[in-house]
Amino acid sequence: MDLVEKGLHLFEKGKYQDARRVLSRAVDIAQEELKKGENQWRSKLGLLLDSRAACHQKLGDLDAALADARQQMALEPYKCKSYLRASKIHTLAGRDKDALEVLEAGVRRLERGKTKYGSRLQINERLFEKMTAEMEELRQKSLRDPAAKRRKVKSYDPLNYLPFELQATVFSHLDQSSIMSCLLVSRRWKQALESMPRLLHSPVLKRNLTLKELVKFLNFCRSRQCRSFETLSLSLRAVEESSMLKQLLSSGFEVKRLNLSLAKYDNFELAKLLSNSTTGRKMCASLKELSLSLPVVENGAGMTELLGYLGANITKLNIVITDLVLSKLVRREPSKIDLPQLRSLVIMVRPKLHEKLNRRLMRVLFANFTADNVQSLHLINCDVEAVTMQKVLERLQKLEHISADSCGALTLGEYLRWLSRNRVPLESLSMRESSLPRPASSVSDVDLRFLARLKSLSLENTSLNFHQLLLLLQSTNHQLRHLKLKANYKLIFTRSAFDTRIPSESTRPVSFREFLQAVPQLESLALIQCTNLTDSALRSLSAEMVNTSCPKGLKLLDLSANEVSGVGVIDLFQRPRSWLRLDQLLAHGCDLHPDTLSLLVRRGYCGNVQI
Amino acid sequence: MTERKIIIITSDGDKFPVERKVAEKSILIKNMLKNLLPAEEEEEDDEDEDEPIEVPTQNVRSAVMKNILEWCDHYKDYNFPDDEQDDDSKKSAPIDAWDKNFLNVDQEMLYEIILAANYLNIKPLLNAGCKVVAEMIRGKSPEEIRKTFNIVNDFTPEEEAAIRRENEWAEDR
Repeated sequence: MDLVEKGLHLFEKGKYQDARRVLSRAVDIAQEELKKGENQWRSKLGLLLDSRAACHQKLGDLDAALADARQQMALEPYKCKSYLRASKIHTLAGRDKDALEVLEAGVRRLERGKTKYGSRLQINERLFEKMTAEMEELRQKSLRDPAAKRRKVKSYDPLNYLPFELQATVFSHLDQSSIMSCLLVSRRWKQALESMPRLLHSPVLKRNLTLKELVKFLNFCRSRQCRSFETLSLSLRAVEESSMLKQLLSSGFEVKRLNLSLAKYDNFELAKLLSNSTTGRKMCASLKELSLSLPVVENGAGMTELLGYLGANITKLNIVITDLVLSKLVRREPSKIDLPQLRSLVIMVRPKLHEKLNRRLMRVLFANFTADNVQSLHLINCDVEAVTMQKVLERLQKLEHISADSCGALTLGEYLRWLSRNRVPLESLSMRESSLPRPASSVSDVDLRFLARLKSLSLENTSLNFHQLLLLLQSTNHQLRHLKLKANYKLIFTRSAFDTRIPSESTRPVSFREFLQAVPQLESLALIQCTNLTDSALRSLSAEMVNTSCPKGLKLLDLSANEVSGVGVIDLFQRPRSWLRLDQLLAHGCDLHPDTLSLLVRRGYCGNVQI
Repeated sequence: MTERKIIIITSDGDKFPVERKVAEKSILIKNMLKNLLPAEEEEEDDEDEDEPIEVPTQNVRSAVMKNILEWCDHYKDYNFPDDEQDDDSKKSAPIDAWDKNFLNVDQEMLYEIILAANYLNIKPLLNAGCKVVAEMIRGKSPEEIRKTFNIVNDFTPEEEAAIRRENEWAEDR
């Protein structure tokens, strides 16, 4: 007993070394007594351990102090002091997390005791309050310190590790649907994503969007200050079309590329809507590229009224006309349109619409439309009259790519002649004559120098014969890379055995030698639905390939819709000294056996074959 | 004329001797060296010529630096194209196979590599790292993302439903 008092006395005097020695002896004695079952020693041992722990702590021996505190905890689980000391020691050692855990465990223990024993349990309320207060403080601290929080839940949330600008880089690599998932991960993620305004630069809206959904989208953008987009695509259903268009036009968005597909709204109604909407006109004027699919009313002004709202900045314009009706109710005067920045123009009319209107629409459009810098012009099913086409083609001094697909009565001869007038060297030329009855055309009197830089040529359904084809090919200065010939009925690949006439210039069948020598740089060749392109034609093609060693760079061959068999096709590759190796062979509609296909691939003749 | 040795010192005091062209994959170090070693190499007779240049990097610990230097060493003879232009095509380009394998480390290390690449200004590595993190997210459901990074969902079911409703306009692939 005097050992305890002596120890405490020494401790108070600051002689911690001596106090610890004395207390240690007392601890040993108390433990012996307790073992004997002397229960009154329990609280004395508790006091001794507490005092010795204080000595250890003063002397900087934190581990020993902690051990004593733990022993005391086990001895007297309802004493607050030991928890407080253990927690203090952890804090001193920089282990806030452990400190918090000790206090949490202690508070739990004491509360359980309170409910179990009620008022029979003696608890120092002042110390208990201190415990809960310290616990709360540690909790707050751990929340403030992200590092501690991270360790606690072992989360590898990139938002915890990476600074904002790197988070933004990560998210910028993601597609919309992944980003939508991210918004649902946690509050923190949602918050982070919402502060990145450039996140959805090209939102992909649902197909068949409803008005309600469009409004949600607009709200989504407004709450995130998203006002400018790279690409916005919207396909409207007839039901709510008018309200949806109004919503869109009043959104105040700035869009670079707008793809808009209307169901019933036509050019006239859309123009009317724009005339009443300042924000809509602003959006229209800011467009760089527009793809518009809509039914069209011809009311005298045709498309010109609507296109008049486009800004001078527009570089690309695609128009798909899905329906064509005459309006007798309103007559409008056409407006003049000048789009100096326009580089690419595509107009497509859905086939089998009102023929007369088609012609009239094109006449009005091209008579009032100036876009002198167009480099690429594609007209599909546009019934452009000869006079109009001539004027248009002669004006386009910067043209590089042109295609005319089933454009009224336009024939290859006229087409080439007009193109030759402005002598622009073209990069690519494509033509499909419509199936209207038309005169055979001649190209021999056309100055073909505008083909001198041609890389790609596609001719379909024309009355071209081999003699004319050769003239075209020879004008390309051996530069042609891609050639497609489809259903040109006068281009004959082998003479029929029944044809006893002496061939003239115009009925001469294809000579592959002359053909190949004109196109040594060819990379892709499509001979589709050709007259008399049979196995024997393929044999002479492969023989001439060996003889001329052209075209060495050929990688793609399309023989679709011809009457060729596996024998002829394999002969292309198997002839002695044949060097032909293709990336791809297309033979849709050809009668090729599956074994032939697998052989072609197995022997390494073709990367892949499609039938 | 022999090249002066460069020694990179990490935050925990380790020293990594490296070739100059390896170290210069870091634009930060490259600029640092530019200042330390003026272009005029005529001062050959300088007395401290043989003394190695020590480059301290306070923000990078040794384990991370080891990885960074491995990357720099792999690309030491490769010149990355100027990265200002053509931002879009670079963004959509897939991760280089070697980089992908190189960055196949635990998440904490991956983040540390990204941070170090950011600090040391090694753009291609930074970009590859960010892409790898993006790949961990791409195409996953919210729950799968949480699992990937061990994130606790702190939304109430009502909040979650509200966000889903808010985003109904979006095309779901």
